[in-house]
Amino acid sequence: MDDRELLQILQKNPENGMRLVMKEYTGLCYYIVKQKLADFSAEEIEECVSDVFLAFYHQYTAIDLERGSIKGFLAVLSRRKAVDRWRKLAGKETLPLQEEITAADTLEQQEDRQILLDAVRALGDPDGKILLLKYYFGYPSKMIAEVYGLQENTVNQKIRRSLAKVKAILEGGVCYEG
Amino acid sequence: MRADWEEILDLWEEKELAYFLPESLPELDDAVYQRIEKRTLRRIRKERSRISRKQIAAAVICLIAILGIVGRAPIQAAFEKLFHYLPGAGIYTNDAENTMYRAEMITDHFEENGVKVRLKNVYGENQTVKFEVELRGDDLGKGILEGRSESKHYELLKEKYKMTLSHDGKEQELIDVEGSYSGSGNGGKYVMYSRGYEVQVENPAQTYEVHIAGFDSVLSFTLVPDTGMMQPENIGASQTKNGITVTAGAEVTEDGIWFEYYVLSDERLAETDETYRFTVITLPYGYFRWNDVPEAELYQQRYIMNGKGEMLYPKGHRWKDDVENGKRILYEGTAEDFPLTFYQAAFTGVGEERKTVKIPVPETSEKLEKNIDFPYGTVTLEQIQTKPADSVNEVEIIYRIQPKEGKRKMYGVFMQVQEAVQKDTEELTIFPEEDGTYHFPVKISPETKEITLELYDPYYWIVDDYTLVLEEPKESK
Repeated sequence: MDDRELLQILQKNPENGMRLVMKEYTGLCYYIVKQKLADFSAEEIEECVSDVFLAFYHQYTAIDLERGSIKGFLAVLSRRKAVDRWRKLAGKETLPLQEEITAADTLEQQEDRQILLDAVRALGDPDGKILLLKYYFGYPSKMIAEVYGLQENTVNQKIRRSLAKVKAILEGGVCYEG
Repeated sequence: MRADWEEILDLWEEKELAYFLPESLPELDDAVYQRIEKRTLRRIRKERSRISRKQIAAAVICLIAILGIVGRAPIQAAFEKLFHYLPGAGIYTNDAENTMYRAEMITDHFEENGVKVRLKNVYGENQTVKFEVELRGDDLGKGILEGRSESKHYELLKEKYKMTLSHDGKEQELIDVEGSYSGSGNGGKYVMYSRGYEVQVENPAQTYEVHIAGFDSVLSFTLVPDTGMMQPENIGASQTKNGITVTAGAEVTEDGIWFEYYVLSDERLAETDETYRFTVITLPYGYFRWNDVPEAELYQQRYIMNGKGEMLYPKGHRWKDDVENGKRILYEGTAEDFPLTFYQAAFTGVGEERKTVKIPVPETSEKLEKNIDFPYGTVTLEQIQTKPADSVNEVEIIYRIQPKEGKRKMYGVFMQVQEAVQKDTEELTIFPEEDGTYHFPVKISPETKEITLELYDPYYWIVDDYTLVLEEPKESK
C-alpha cells in the first residue's frame, strides 16, 4: 500500500488508517526515539512513540506527498518528539513542539544543516547511510550489519571512521579520505 | 559552528533526511508494539469522542438555525428522508399543492480558466429552492488575497466570485446561507470554495441560471413536476433486509464514477448517525464477509468492486459529499468498470434504553453477579476492583455481554458513573479483552463508598449484509 492510499484511508477512517501506519512504522519511530532517550526507561520511550503517533494523527493532513513521504514525516516527528522529551526529562528548557517545528531557522542553523548534509554525503555510499542509520534512526550495529551484509565489527569500524571525518569537517577541516 | 553534530542532526528536516531514509524498516518486539498501539488508539479515541461531541453541538445549532421548519406533511418528511440532499432529484413542495418537483440539470458543471465549477445538492424545501456551487482550482484566491489578513479571505473570495441567479425573468444577487473553503491559508492558496443558497420562489416550474463573476459559462437547472423518482429502485439498485433499505446508484463523468448510496432505517444506525459515527466501535471481527478484498475493512466496512472483481478506490476526501442518509463519493473508474458490485457489511444499531445500578465500592475487589437486561443482550457485571492512587481511587468494573438469539445482537454499551471525579473515559466505548470481558475504568474520590453506574445507548449488530449490483451507469445529468 503506497502513501497515497494510506492517506486516503486515514481520511476515510482515521482509526483504521492509524492502525496501518503504526503497523508499518512503529519500529522505525521506536528506534529513532530510543536512540535519543537511551538513558531513560522503556516506559518513557514507549510513551514518546505514542506521542509521535498522536502528533501524526493531528498533523497528517499537512503531509504533501510531492515534497515528502509518510516515512520521512514520521522520522522527523520522532526525532523532534524525542528531543522534546529528552529536554523535559533532563530538566532543560524546551519549546512547544509545534512552535519548534515551525519556528524559522536562523541563518546559522541553516548553514550548519547544509554543512552537515554535505559532510555526510561526502562520505559516499554506504558509509553516509550507515552513519545516519546509527545516529538518527538508532539501528543497532547488528541490524545495520544485516542490512548491508557486513560483519558487525566492520560496521562499527565504518561508523567510527565516518564520525571522525564528519567531526573534522564540522570543525573546519575540508579534506578527508575518499 | 556548533560543536555537537547531533544537535544539528536534531534540526534536519525531511528534505535533508530523504536520501538517507532506510528501505528496510526495523521489526519490533510484538509485546512492545501492542502496548504502543493500544495506548495510542486509546488516546485517539478519547480525542475523537470529545471532538465528535463538540461537532454535534455545533451542527445541531446550525441545523436549527438553517431549517427552523415545523409542521411538515408526513409525506414530505418521508420523501425528504431519501431525497433531502439527493442531487438532481430534489423536490419542491408548497403548502397548498404539496406538489413535488424534480431538479433537471441543464448545465451542472463547466471548466473555465483552470477552475472547475460544479452545481450540486439541488433540492426544494417548502417554498425555497436550495443549491450549492463549488469551485475547484489551484489557487482560487490569486490576485486578491496577497497581503490581506486571513480573517478577510472568505469575504474576499465571496466578492471575487459574486453569484447571481436568473429566474422567472428576474435577476437577483445571491445571499449565501453557508460557505466553506479549503486549502492552505498560509500562502493564500485555496483549492476549493463553495457556497450554499436558499431562494424563495413563487413559481417553481421554471429554468434557473447561476452566473458567477469572472466566468462566461453559466450553470443552469430546471424544476419540473415529477413523481417518477419516488421509488428508490429508480436511483439504481436497492435491497431491504431487517427493515433497512440500502440504495445505490452511479454516474460516469469525466472526473470518474460518482457513486451514491443511501441507507433508510427507522432504527438509529451508528453508520448514519453523527452522534455515534465515531464513538461506537464497529468491531473489526464482526459480521463482515471479507471476500477477496481485505482492504475493504478500511473503508468502513463497505466497498465497491468493478466487473473484473477489483476494488475501486475513492479519489480523495475532497471529492465527497456528505448527504443526508448517505454519501456521494467520486471513485477512480470509467464506464468500462461496470457492472459494479456494492457491498455493505452489517449495520450497528444503537438503542435508547438507559439502566442504572448501585454498586458498593470494595476495599480491593469483589465479585458481582448483576445482570442488566437490554432488548438484544444481557450485561453481566462480574467484578469490581479498587486500586488506591494519588488522592483518587481507581475503580475498574469488569463485565460481559451476552447477545440474545435473533437478527440483532448486542455487543456494546456506553457507561458512566455519576460519582466519577474525571469524566473523560466515560464517553468511550471499549474493546473487549481476549477472554471476552470488558474493563471499564473510573476514578472516584476515596470517600465514595457506593457508585451509581449508568448503562445507556446499547449497540448491536443487525446481522445481514447487502450486495447490490449496478449493471450500468445512470444516464449522465
